[in-house]
Amino acid sequence: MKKTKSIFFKTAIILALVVLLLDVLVLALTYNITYNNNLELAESRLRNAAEMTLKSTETYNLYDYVDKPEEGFNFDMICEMFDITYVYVVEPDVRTRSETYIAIGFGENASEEAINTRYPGIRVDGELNDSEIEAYNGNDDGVILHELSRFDDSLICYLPCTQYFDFKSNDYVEYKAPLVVGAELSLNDYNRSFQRQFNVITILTITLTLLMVVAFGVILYFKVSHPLRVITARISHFVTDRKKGFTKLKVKGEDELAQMSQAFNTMAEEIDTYIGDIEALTREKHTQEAELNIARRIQMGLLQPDNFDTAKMDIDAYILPAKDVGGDLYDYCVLDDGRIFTAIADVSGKGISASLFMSRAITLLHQYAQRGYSPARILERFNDTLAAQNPSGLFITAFVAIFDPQKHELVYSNAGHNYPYIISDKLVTLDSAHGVAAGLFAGEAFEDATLRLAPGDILFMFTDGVNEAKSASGEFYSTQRLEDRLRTCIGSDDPAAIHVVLDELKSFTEGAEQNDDITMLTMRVKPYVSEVTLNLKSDKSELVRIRSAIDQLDISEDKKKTLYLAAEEIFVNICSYAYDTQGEAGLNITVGNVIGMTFTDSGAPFDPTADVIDINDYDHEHSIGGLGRFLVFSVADRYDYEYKDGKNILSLYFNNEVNDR
Amino acid sequence: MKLNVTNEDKICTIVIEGSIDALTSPELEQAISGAAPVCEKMILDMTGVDYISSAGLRTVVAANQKLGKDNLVLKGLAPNVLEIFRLTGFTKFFNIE
Repeated sequence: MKKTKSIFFKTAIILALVVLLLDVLVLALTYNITYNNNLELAESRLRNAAEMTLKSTETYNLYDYVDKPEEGFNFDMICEMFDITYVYVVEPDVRTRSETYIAIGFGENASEEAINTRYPGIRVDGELNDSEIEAYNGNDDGVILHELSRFDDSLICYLPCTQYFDFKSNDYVEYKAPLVVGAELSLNDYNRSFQRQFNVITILTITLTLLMVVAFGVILYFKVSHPLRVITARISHFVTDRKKGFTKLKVKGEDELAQMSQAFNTMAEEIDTYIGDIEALTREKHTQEAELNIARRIQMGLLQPDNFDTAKMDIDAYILPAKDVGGDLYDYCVLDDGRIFTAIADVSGKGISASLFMSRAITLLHQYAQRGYSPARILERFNDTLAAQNPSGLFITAFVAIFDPQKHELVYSNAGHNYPYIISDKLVTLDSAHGVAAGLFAGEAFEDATLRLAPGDILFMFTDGVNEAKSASGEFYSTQRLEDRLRTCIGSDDPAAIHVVLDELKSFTEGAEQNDDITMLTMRVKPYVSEVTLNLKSDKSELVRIRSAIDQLDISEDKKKTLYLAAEEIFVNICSYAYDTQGEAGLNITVGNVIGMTFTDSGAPFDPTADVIDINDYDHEHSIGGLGRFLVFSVADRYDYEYKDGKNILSLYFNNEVNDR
Repeated sequence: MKLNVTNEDKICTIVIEGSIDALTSPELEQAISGAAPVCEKMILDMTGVDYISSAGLRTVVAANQKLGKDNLVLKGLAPNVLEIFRLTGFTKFFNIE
């Protein structure tokens, strides 16, 4: 297990310190009290000793025994009696602060030095202290002096001795000057023994205390800290351990730890169930997401390519599905009669249900369009079929249009969808023929509206994902912005109106989450081409280019076929005869009241208008040459040839029936 | 151009769709010469032909020469295609239905 700083370890240390401090305090106090008590006892002993001395020498003139102390009172006895060190009587000389010993007794522990230097009759200078002077001056309470020095601790009690009883005169006789009785106790030895005892007590106490603290710590560790660590380990490895199978913690007793273990068990069981649920949910979600991806792919696969180009018009589509599979769709196709069907639709709601609905919707629209129905009829059938089987009550808004490239006519009908726009020399909102959204109410009637589209006009269709796209700050892109942007496309030769809107939309929604499909569809009628110029290689394969160039011209289909024929015959002749190897040819066609077609080549001079065969002389059994030239000059209304600047220039003219397209 | 050749009791039918021009006529020529040896009679169904140029005409003329007018039938000519035949005066050489 990892070494952790246990709170119990810290507590034990603090506790030990506190208890030690308390110990020291108590010991100090005890020391003090004991010491003071001892002092007091010693004082009273000294006082008694001094008084006893005074009493015992009451009947002596102490001076009589200065020279023969052994005959006088036995002062040593007093020392012995009261277990003190010294007892003495001195004659103070206050003026010189000296004193003269009159009598002295020594106790057991009197120092050798004192025994040798202190004896009756000795005068000691400068030894007279204030306490002695106080007693000398008559204080008979027993003046106590506690002399404390580095080497000495002694307690002395002084009493004045002023008189003695003289048996001869049977009266008290005053000494000529007061004497002072001193009883002295050296506390050194005493202190030493007291100190020793005290040290023993101190060591015992502290050891005991520490032992208790350690014992307490050990008990705490095994009873609280260790179980706590076990619980902690179980909690921190809960998720990893869970895989090996969940085991409960043992619950012993009813204390806090037991409650905690119990709480852990309950919590763990709940979390276990919860994690299990979440795991199941996550698995399910992954499966669902994978399925959603497939659904989205299938859905996108139902859509036509995003670009379609014919001679008459081009279609651009853009769809950006939101995160979930959505319900937007667009569709277009060229119908059997050459008309072009386009549709855009938006299913209410999102997700699988919307996408399924969308799949059905796109199939139905496509199917009804190919039956040759008008947009209104398509929407009616569409609505009826959807409404008949729509248990979840989804609905769909749709705009359907069919464009006739021959008549340049757009027929459209709207089932509750946002109004599309026509971008011509102005921006027109297609707000007529607007019916109810499809899918809910069978039997609804829709109407067709018809509009003439000029070459260069753009039909712009979109879903509400465009105008309701939100910026990062929550602002809508809005219809107003869309219209402003579309207006910039007026008069532009650029067919990609979608990209103009898309670019702005992308920067507008930057950083915001897209929450709806964004779909746009444009159909642009190609502008008339009134002139084409081609540089051709003298190779028959170039006929393909010639045909598509003629296809783009604003002339009738019949006229186009005439032009194909003339162009093919002339070009094939150039390919076959103009050059030994490969060369080049130019073709220019201009459309007006008269269609002019000019071929130029740099081959050998050859006038194709000369020697055109007379068809009546045509020997079709044997010669089939010259037939092509015959056809050309039959179908051309006028023709012209010149050889100029090293070039054959053949011009053909065809009358243009302006009204037949 | 799309071609579909069928043979029923030595009566061959070639259904032609699209344009018969300088680029596509060799294909038709091949189909005709391929079928001719086993056919007593040949029908060119041109209902689906929207355009023919001289190259196409030559192919058909060649077939006519090979098989003989009585054994080749041109069927379903669109007005603009018929017009080419008319212009060249070939209508009289062909068995046009």
